[in-house]
Amino acid sequence: MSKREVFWLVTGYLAISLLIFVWTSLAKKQFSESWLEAMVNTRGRAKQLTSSPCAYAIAGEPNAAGQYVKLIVTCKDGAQSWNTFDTRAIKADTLETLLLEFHRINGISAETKNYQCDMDSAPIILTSKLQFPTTINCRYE
Amino acid sequence: MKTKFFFGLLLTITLFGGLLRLKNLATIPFPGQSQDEYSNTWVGLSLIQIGMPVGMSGVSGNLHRERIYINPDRIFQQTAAGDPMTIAYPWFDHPPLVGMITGSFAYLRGGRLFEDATSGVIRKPAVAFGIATIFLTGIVASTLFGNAVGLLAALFYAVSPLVTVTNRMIQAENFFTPLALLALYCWFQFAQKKRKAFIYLSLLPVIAAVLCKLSAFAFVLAGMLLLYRLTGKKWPAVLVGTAALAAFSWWAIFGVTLSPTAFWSVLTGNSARIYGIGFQAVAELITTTKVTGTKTISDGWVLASFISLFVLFFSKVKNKEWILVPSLCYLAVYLFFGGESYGWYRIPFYPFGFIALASLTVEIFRSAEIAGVFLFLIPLGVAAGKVTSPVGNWLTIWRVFPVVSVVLGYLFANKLVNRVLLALVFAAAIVVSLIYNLKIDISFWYQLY
Repeated sequence: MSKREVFWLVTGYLAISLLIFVWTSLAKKQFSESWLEAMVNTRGRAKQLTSSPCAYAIAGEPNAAGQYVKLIVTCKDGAQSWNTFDTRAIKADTLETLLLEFHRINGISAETKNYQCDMDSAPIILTSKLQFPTTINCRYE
Repeated sequence: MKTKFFFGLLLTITLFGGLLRLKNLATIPFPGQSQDEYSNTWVGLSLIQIGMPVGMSGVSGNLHRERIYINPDRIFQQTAAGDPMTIAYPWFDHPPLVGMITGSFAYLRGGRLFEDATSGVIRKPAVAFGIATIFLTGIVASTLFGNAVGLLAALFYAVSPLVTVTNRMIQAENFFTPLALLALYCWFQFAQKKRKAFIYLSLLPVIAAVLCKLSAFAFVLAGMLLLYRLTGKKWPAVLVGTAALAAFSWWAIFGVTLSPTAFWSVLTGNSARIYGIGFQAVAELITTTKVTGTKTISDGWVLASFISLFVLFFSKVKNKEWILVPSLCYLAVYLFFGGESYGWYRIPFYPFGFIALASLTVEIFRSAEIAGVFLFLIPLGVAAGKVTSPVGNWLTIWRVFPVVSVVLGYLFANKLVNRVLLALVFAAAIVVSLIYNLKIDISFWYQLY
């Protein structure tokens, strides 16, 4: 290799290094927590909404001993949706926020006011604070 | 073989392989069976939009980690076991090029959100690289061993059911394998023609491959060994190695600019990953045909290809080191890095194995050695077992054909008769493999374990 070739290779390397540094520094300034939250939490275009809360369930059991909430929804036609959430992965401290998370994940367009729920067999309202672990049974009217 | 005819056939095989990969693209493997597919795309989508790589990570050391339910393709209603995902940022588990490719594709297709990354969209770039691999397998093989070997190698890569399905997945191995083949082609041309341009051309795929995944260093090592041994010069090997280090340093600049602490701790966290691949890794590599960590598709072509690699090791075929050195270097890196026994880690072996199988196939036909029938019975038998039940006329043919082959083959020792028998079993293996490919749908997938 000639010195000229080495010079051009080193120059190219340094130019690309500088470009990456400048681009990454500028891109880093774009970062916003709220934008990330929107990207992560917003329903995708391809996910079709359903008006029935019993159409889908979050299948399986998370590895979340002592940190779970089971949500069992029964619809008018007798269909049921059994869901188990890892409470470390949902932003829910009241019944309403739990139902909104349930709607977001499963792609449900339903009114939260149409649920009648019990927590560990005691009736609760939308603003009731939740204590985990727990099991919530809801009827969707 | 005329060049036009060769390229016509190679393009036909490539197109055909592409169609097989596009069929059931969005459904097989089931979306979510490897959540890495989403994670890789999220890295690109987030990098493009918010300047920060965000992806799923099992490595400790990330600055921000969050458990969350993200439900693209409704995976929580299908394949997810119930555990939420853990996303982390800045994500440095691997260099970001694969994420940039798939994320850019999803972005150009209108995807802005993590749930927009659906399998039907994001798997297309992986298939494009899979198609490129068919073509490049043919080109590399024909350059090394002649056009017949090139066409056969491309055909095997195109119709192997395991490869067809695995090529749909957004895994880095699908992206750096064709880049490694391209670099290998350039290095061979340099060794033959001594034109510097080929070395400089090879630097682009080398850099891109390293920016896909660090295990691509296996091919850098292979290139350095081949160039040093076969050209007798140090500078081409040094240049290739330096280019790979330059690529690594660009990733480091990217990482350190975003967060030096996170970059360093993920790098050290990655090196402390559990060595789940185990001591049985080599035996498993040859005898099992995994797609994901759990799903396995029976595929005799892969076993036949590994047998052929061993045959090639000890043969006197010219240019064999151009296949053997990359295979052995990748095997060494596969065993060194071996995190878990996932099917996609094996992808880079397949083109080299199929080139070896193609070389052996040509040799079998040339010598009209009837024992070759038994090599093709491996893929034929495995595929036949999946497309028909072992009863009736097909079973009778299966039982009688080997007896007839051995008796006729050694009784008459006639090359024409032997070639006819070989051609029959070879053609049957290809046709039955095609039928097998077409059968791999959702119902079939449920039967696998």
